[in-house]
Amino acid sequence: MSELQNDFEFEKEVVDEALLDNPEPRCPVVLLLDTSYSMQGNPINQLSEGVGALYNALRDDDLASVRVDLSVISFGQTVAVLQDFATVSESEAPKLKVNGMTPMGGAIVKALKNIESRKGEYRDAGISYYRPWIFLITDGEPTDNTQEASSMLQSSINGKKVIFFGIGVENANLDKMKQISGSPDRVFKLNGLNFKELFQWVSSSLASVSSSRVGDTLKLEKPSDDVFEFEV
Amino acid sequence: MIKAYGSSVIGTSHIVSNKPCHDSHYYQLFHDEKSIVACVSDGMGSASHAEIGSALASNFVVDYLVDNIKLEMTDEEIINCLKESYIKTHERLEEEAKLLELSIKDLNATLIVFLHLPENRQFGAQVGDCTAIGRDEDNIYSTIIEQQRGEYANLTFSVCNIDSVMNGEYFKIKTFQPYIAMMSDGIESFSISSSTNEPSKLFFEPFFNAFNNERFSDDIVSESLKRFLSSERVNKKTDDDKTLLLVQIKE
Repeated sequence: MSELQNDFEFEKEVVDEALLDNPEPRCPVVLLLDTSYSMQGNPINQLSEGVGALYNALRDDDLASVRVDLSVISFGQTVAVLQDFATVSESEAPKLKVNGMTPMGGAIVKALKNIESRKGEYRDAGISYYRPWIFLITDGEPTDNTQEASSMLQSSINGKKVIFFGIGVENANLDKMKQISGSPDRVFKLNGLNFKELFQWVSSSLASVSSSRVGDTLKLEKPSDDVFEFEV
Repeated sequence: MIKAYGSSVIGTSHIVSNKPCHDSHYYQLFHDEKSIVACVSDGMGSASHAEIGSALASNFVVDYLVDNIKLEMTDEEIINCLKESYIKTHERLEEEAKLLELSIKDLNATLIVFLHLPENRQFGAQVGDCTAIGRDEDNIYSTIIEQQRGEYANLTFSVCNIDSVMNGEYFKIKTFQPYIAMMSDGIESFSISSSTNEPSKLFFEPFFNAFNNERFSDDIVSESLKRFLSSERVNKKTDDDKTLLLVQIKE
């Protein structure tokens, strides 16, 4: 019997080089963070801590740490890419500084354009990818023109090109965000300044999506009040 | 002479979450023993009873084709029969979902079929993201039934969705392939290059060589395949369920 088995020992016959190292699929995620002057003090400190907690939580998840491709863009004095797309295993949470107005429109356009160009890079490298996510966090309302941003964002959301969430804190103008995104059900108000809880939710959503299939419905407690379902 | 063997093995993610293996495979020789139909089905993780869906789809489609394919059929008639087999499989799944008081989505599963008939006529059918590769008479490897890819990595198609069945791929394979390997996406992820679509020869060769060993017996070889698919080395590459089904055609 043992002689027979020795004829078919695939564990030995399949050499290590036979198993290919294909790149992990990526899930592009953009955090669009309001760093206008009104965020100074407690809000920006809490937001920074929350972003740090997100990086840590994603690092703790085996799949999310290599699949979530995270970029951080701030909008205040200017629209600035604080962290270009990278997995959390190869990047650090950026430092946030407050300054200036709220150029939200420009930030949305930048996020959508960067996502498109990142997708081109994936295709060139033969890397498959998940539907991109955008999280927009603000305590105010846009001070720039949002017409182009709104039309690009709505067509991306409706064309299922992006999964969008708008999160308002304190005196944020939620109606304006609902209008820009055309997706009132994807805009909600955060309880107080509980960014940590928010980013735990973001992290668990991303961990779920990195092992999901398109059309799966994720059912998650949203960090404001009730249960929240959406399709990935 | 046709030989085949295969195994479906649970992935570590399903062991951890206490779920069953969602992959299934099945094959049957026709009465003439010169023809074979083989299939692999991958139950979708989000479906609550995916293991029932994949097992039922596999068994049903193979039995249907053995009963309904006639050797005198033209290529076109065979392709129509393949599509018909998927529609009937969909109907059977619908019926089962009703019996179990489930939604048909609860049985969501992908389905790939390979069919070999005398005179080296070979056909493929595809709904979803399983894959089949072949080694031709010149020992050239190629992907003969490709994954249906959408834009997103986690996009796939189910035999439980009638639109996906109608948009499925049913076709004749151009070059005769004496060796075929069918697999679920768990295996595909580390045995076929995602950038060039080329199968890893080093990976498939030992499984094909087994057919030519004088002591080949499908039971013994399947057991060895099962051990390999359960090994730590494979589990390091994928936490998904894993199916590999191999066929040799020697006329």
